[in-house]
Amino acid sequence: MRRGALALVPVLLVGAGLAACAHSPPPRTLSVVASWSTDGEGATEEERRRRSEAGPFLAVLDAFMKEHKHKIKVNYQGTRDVSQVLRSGADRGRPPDVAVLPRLNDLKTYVQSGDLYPLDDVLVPAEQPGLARQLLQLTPPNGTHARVYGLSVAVHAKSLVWYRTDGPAGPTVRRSPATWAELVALTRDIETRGIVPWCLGMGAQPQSGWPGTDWIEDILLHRSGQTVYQRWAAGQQAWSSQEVREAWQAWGALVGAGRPTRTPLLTNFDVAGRGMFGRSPSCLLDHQGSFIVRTYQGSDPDSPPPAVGFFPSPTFGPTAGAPVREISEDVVGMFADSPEARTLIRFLAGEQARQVWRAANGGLAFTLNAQATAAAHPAGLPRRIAQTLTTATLCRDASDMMPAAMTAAFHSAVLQYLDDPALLGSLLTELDIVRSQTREDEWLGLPCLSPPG
Amino acid sequence: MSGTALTSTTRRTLLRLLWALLAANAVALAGCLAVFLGVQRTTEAAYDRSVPAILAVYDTQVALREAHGAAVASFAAGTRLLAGPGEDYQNQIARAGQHLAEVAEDNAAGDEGSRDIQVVEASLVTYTGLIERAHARFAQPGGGALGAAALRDASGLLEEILDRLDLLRGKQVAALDRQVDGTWTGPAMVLLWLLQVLVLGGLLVAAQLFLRDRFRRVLNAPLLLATLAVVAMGGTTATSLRSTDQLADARTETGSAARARETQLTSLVDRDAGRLAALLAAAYAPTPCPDTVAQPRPPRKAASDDGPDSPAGKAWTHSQEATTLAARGANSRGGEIVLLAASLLAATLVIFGLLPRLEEYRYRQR
Repeated sequence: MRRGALALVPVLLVGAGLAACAHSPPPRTLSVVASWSTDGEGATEEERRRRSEAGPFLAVLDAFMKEHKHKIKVNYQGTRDVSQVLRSGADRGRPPDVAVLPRLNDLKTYVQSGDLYPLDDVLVPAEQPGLARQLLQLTPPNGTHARVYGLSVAVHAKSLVWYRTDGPAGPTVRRSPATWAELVALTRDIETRGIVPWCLGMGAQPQSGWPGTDWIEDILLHRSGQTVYQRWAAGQQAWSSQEVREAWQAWGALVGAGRPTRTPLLTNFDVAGRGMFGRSPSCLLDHQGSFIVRTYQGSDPDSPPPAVGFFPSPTFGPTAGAPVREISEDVVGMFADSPEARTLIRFLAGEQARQVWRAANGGLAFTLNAQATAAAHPAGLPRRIAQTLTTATLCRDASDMMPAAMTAAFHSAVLQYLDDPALLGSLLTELDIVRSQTREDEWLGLPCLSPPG
Repeated sequence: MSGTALTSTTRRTLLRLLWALLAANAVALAGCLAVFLGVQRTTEAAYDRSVPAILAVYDTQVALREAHGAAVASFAAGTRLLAGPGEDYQNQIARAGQHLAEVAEDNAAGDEGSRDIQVVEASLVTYTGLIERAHARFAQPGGGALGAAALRDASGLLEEILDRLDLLRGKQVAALDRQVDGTWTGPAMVLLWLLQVLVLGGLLVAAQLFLRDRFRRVLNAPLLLATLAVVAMGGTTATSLRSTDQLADARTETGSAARARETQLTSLVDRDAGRLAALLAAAYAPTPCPDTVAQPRPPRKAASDDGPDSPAGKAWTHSQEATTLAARGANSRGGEIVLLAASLLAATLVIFGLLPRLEEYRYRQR
């Protein structure tokens, strides 16, 4: 009995030792910041996560963690204000490991501040055919040659006009307008029927106005051509120049700027288009990027595609060569150099990530990768959008390439112009003042991309 | 021969008892001290970090809602040129900043929590910028629509900030849950120290019985005192159970404070929604768009900010109670000193109790 009691002592000691040593080392955690919200609709946490704006990207991150047997954990943070969060993190010396930048000019800012790490040895085009088109190269301060600092992981077609194909009176558009004059005629025709032609919503947190800047960019690109567009995007073309002024005026005339209703100022861009889908539609045309389909779809990637069609923004006159389209991109940058961050970026550049992204987004995820084909997307709307991206010259969103102060002023000017078009002269003069106050090296003038092949 | 054999066995048994008692005492001390300090560290972490962090997140949310409500009320009051978003807005924003600094200081959610705090701080800069922009536009002649657009952007961003704070609070609550339901406060740990104390107590009783049988003494006084010292060790360690209970009660009180804060936040949302909707509807004039803007609702009476029965009052009471309970749980009352002293005393008394008997047998052997 006594011996048994004594024997308990080592047993207890061993038990205590095991309890203390039961924890295995935690996985390395990478922090990733992007602008996609994780707030979705659904009954369960998993459903809300999957249906959220960030859902497809989270699926890619899940696939990454699974591939690495959860030895690398990714902590995703979705915030509309990626630029501000990055600025705050960089100022404190605690930026995220990896960020997905919706504003291309942020690349320039953080390359100049030395917060962004080059990816030349992470992403090697010679090893991955088709990758070169996805890489963004910038020259670092005091550098002699450009280095890779960004990987374009998602691209959105922006020069698109959406309409309903199963409206009460049939498809809104029976023949796509081939010229600006035909688009104006279509608009006037709808107006004569007593319907508001354009579903206009300028609202977008954290700063309203970018849906209007897309309009101006699109019109300038199609009206004045790539050269003027690129000069303007690089800060070399005056806002008060005839080309830019006429682009504003063309937009104002088309959408009826200055009308008594202020609805566009107070309507979110992702809400405006819903006006097309009522029993008696309140508007019939929506100028938006390809990402808007998911909003029409009701945020559930598994729900059937909405009955919508689109036509690309028309040209102002006869053009030669490939059509020109405006795009926006989400670009990955590395803010903390670690083997895990490099592994994640390599994964994001791979075909597996693209496949997961596409599948999780109902086929509506597009890439600049030169090897990607439209056939990889489901037939119908997704494939048609992919075709517009693979057959056209793609010019990047100018406001995304402008310095932050210029972009903010552009957003503000769009709202004020829509409210009172008589202010145009003053607004353009002030925009030129802002332009003159920005340093030359703050501008990011990236060239347009020719069609692959 | 038989007498020598008997003497030898008794001495050997006495020696074994002595070493077993000293070893069991050392093990019991290690076990009791480990559990006591483990519980202590856990309750201290809850008192110093997770409980105040949870409460500070709520305080931040309430201050932000109050600030936004004050700004909306000021813009709606028609004194835009003079007052801007108002003094109350400035005060509440400053208060929110202070509470957020408290969260950062007490953050129990590690790096993930820090990242959330960073996002909130960055977004707050943008939020205050949007409120300033709304003020500037409202102050312009005919700038109502543009001001309302900026105010609506600020409202949207505020909701994102509050959602982020919800996430952050969830992480602090998870940290508190881990502390309350963690290893040190679990039944396995109680079993660990209790068994060790019982083993030591059992050995002491066995030693008493052995001495009574062999030496015809009713009681060995030093061993009896050693047993009392062991009981003191057990009693002191048992106070960690009380600390665990107080920690669990602190969690319950934190939950009650959370519910009261939720009610307060809902009440603030209801109070301000009507004002904001009226402001936006006025900006839409003359053609309001029913699909995209909330219809103005008659402002409900917000829950009173004062009085013990108001949500704010209840939240304050529960917060105080949670803090008090966590503080009580975290107070060791010098238990670790008592454990060391009692164990040392028990070891000394064991030696004093058994050494004379060993001396007797050493003499007989000679």
